[in-house]
Amino acid sequence: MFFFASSIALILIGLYAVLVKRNIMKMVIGLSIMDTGVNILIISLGFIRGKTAPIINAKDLLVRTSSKVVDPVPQALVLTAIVIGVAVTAAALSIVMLMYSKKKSLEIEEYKELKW
Amino acid sequence: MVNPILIIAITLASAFFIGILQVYSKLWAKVFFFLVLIFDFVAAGANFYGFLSGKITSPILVKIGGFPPPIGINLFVGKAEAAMGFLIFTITLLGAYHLARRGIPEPQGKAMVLFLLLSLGAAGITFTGDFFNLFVFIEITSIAAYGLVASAKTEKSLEAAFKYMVIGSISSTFILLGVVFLYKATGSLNMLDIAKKVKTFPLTPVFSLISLVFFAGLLIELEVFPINGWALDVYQGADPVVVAVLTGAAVKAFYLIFIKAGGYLALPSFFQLSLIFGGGTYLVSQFLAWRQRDVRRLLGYSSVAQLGLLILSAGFFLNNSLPSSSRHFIALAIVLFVFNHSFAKSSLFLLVDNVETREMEGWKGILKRNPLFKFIFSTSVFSITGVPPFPGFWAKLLLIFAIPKEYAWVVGLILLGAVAEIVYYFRFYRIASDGEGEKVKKNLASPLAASLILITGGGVAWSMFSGYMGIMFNSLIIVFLMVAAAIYIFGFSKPLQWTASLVLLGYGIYRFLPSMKANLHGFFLALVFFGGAILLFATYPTSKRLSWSFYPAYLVVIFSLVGIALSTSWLNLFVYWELMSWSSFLLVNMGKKAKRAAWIYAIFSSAGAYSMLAGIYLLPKLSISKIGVTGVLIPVLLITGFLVKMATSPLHIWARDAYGESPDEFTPLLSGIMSKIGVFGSALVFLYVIANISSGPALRYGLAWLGVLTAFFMTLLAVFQEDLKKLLAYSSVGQVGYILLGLAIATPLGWNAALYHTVDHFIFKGLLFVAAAGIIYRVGTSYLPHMGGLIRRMPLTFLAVLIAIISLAGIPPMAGFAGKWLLYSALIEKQWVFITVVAFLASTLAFLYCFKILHTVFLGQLQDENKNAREVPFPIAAAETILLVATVAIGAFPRLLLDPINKVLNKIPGMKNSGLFYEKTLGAVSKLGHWNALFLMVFTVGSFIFALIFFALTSARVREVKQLDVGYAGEVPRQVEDLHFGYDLYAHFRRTVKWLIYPLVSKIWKGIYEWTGTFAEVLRRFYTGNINTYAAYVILISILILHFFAGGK
Repeated sequence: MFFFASSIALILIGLYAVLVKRNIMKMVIGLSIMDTGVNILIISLGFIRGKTAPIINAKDLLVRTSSKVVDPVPQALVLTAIVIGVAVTAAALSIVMLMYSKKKSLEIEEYKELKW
Repeated sequence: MVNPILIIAITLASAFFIGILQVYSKLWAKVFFFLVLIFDFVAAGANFYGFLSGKITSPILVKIGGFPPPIGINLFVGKAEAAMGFLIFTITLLGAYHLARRGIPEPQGKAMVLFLLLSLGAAGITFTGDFFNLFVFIEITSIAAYGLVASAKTEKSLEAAFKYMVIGSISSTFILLGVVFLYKATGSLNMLDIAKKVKTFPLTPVFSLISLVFFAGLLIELEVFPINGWALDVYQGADPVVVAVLTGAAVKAFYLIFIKAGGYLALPSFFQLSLIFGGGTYLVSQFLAWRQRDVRRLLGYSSVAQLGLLILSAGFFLNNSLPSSSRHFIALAIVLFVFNHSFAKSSLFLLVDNVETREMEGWKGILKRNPLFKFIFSTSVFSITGVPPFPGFWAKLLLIFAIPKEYAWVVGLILLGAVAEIVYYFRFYRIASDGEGEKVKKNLASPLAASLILITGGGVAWSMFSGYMGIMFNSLIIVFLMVAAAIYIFGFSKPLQWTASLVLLGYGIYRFLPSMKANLHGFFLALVFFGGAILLFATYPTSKRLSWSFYPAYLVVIFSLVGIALSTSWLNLFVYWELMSWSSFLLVNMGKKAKRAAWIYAIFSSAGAYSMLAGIYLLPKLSISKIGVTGVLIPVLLITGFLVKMATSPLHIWARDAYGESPDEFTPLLSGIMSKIGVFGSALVFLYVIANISSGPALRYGLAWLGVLTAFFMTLLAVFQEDLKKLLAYSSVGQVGYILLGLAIATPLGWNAALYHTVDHFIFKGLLFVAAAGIIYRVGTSYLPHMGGLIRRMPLTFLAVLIAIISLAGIPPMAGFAGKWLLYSALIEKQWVFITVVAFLASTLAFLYCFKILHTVFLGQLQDENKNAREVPFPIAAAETILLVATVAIGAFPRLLLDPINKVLNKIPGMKNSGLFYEKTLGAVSKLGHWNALFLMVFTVGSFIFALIFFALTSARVREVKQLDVGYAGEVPRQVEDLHFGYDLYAHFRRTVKWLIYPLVSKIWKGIYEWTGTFAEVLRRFYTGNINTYAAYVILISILILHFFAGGK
């Protein structure tokens, strides 16, 4: 429950930054926080209290391993999602960098040329 | 069959390899890049071909990593996926080639990597059979897309990339959450496995909510209103080549997964969701584009709208309550729409890349100096707006007729949006074709390929279409249409084109002679063919200055008219009708000052045609025969389409300028024949639809008023018109109003009058317009006050015009008298008193403009600049003579025309007994009276001859007066003055009836246009450009989606 609550809190914090912050850097940070929240949420979906990591060797298979481990799929998914999140953040930061080098400003109000 | 994993793996590996390779050799990197893309293209094409040819019968399933599905990831490539894969790589290849020719932006190479990643991501989205894998590919596509959008490195493109990135991240968060929740709910990530489980699964609101999280993410990617601000900014800000590939390939992959997931997850509210968001996006975006000045953003709005239509179609496709045949048609429509939009929009964006300026004003006249550019541009615009024979047209027809009748309002929305689309696309077209613009860059290979693909696709779609809809196209007409279009190749020599056209038309007459039977179809067929031949003949003298495409378009009009006249099904008629409308649009647009007129003509034509289509859609059956319908909606919708072509008030405002400004060679056809095909259509509606409804009499009465008011007001406007062709235009429209009146009377006598006047009006108005073409050719203006005294220079034309005008005014003994006599007999018989009074008034007014033509053109003083004018050239004179002889002959022997008409009417139930018979001494006898045409002719001509003899005998006393040889109240004029009184001939009368000629109708139409535009412009402010706001919209709409559309069984 704690994981759920904290992950949703993180997502909301991230969203808050995206919706309210006027600084594009802070928006990227918000996206990153949101991403982390989502990852924790995914992990917590597969989490079962008191179980161990799904690392299995031949010996473990003799006993009923599946009752001892948490769901491994969300963990596998999260690994991929983290990598993707990093890539997106990197791409975002490079875009922000280029934007800053053009206009010397991180204010979102400066970037309203495209509209209507 | 090529294993689809190879496509993805090779492309992925090469993408990174190229990144390294280009450090060492830019050339080899480029070569390698194209080798990979060509491999992808060929491999995807081979798979698609395999499915098409039936070599591959079941979907290709590829397992990855040794685990069989549903545990392991797998690829699933069915027919749809193979087709989409082929589309993606075709578009990418076109885009990449365009980019390479332009010079890939510095620093070189990175764009190539991103291009490969983008196409492989899109292909992955298409091919994958696993939801988490889907997420990964979506991310690959997105990151590549962010990079590509930013790659132009201008302020605009960076801003667009940032916005795209923020919203894209939110969207993929939704998709990821949806996927994980799906896993949690079903215990699987495999699409087919989940689909299987969902079938036995209780579709609880919670599960709906889970799917909705996923669909909310997809809907953001699919750019639905109102969460598409980012997409519009991308269209506007990014490199057009990138946009071409994004909208042509990547977005389409998202669309495919939208349909697939809709099918797999069986979301109960999927239909409502797609109806509301798809339909809403479509309609709103079509209007938002109205006042858009930035070309890229305009195309963006159009893309978004097309995508909305696709989403809407997806909803219908996946709606299980529809019959499977309808869903099959919708699937075909979707395929055609995707194909059409991908190639047409990509081609447009690649064209945009050739033009420096973003502002639409900068496109002014760009088509004139760039013929290839013009060809591609026209093809793409016509495809997107759904003009036949391009694929978009067939897609629209298939979709509309597959939508069940209880969703008729959706059809209404689709057609409304289609009209709005034509308004802004053809405003763009108008600006681009107006005047002489600058030359553009010549990077046109890729868009050219795209438009050729579109044309081929349109042909294939047409040939398959008749099979789908169960209607037969007369293959002979299609052959003639194709040959007609092929005359284009003789464009280097206009006389050759003219000869070929005449030969083709002559051969057409020979082949279609058996079809000219004594019925309504045969009657109009004969009019089209023989009338068309005469008018075509008269175009020769001025043919040198015509455009390459004049004769092809002219012939396509004629053979479309033939198709209309021979149609046995309403849908068939509609196809030819559209073909005729659009080829005539091209012809009108050839006039130098006709751009605005052509634009308005296009809007009215298509609005009328779509109204007709809505009527056809509502008809219980498609064949043109007696149909039992109730209510006035269907007949009104149907006849509106025809009334537009007849320019019946209040749908007439296109007519003055379209007639006045279209090429002089084409106007005779427009007035003489094309408006008559509207008569033909209206006659069909009267005969088969209005005759059977209970409110028929009331509707006829209403239409009769429309007809007579058109006659009255157009005649009045003609009186005050100072331009020869515009005067004739008003006159023409007014005369066709009489024909509508005759049809609406719906008695045998009324129809006699209508059909008689149809032919007769062709004869004298054809003559007048042909003569006008000749006069304008000789004097170089169509402004009446600049003419005068031409009687000495053009005696034959004077005689022809004189006779035509006598006929037009309905004065015996010329042919026009009979028409008027019949019409008034029918009116009196029907006892529509007020209508009769107005009709009389209108006829009287017609004398005024008839005299005006005669006076200002031929009588009075010859203007100095016209001193060297000669008689009109031979072919025009010949056409005049033929029509002149016809007028006189029919005037003397009206039975030449009345007998065939009677034969036609005898075939029509209820039209048999007109009460008209012929007697030797009395001539034609009706219940109300009689007239002997031959006697009148002999008597009148005799009197003239008598007067002439008398004049000749006494001419010794007559002296010709020179201009200066006048005694004027005792004064002698010292210098030559312009004594010709031509301008504002009826000034006093004009002042009297000023309130009557107030341009109310055009002001109303203009008001509608302006207000809609203003409203759209205000609504557009909604896209503030602020990314915070966009993100807030996205969150808000997603919450609304989750709130309103969750709800299980």
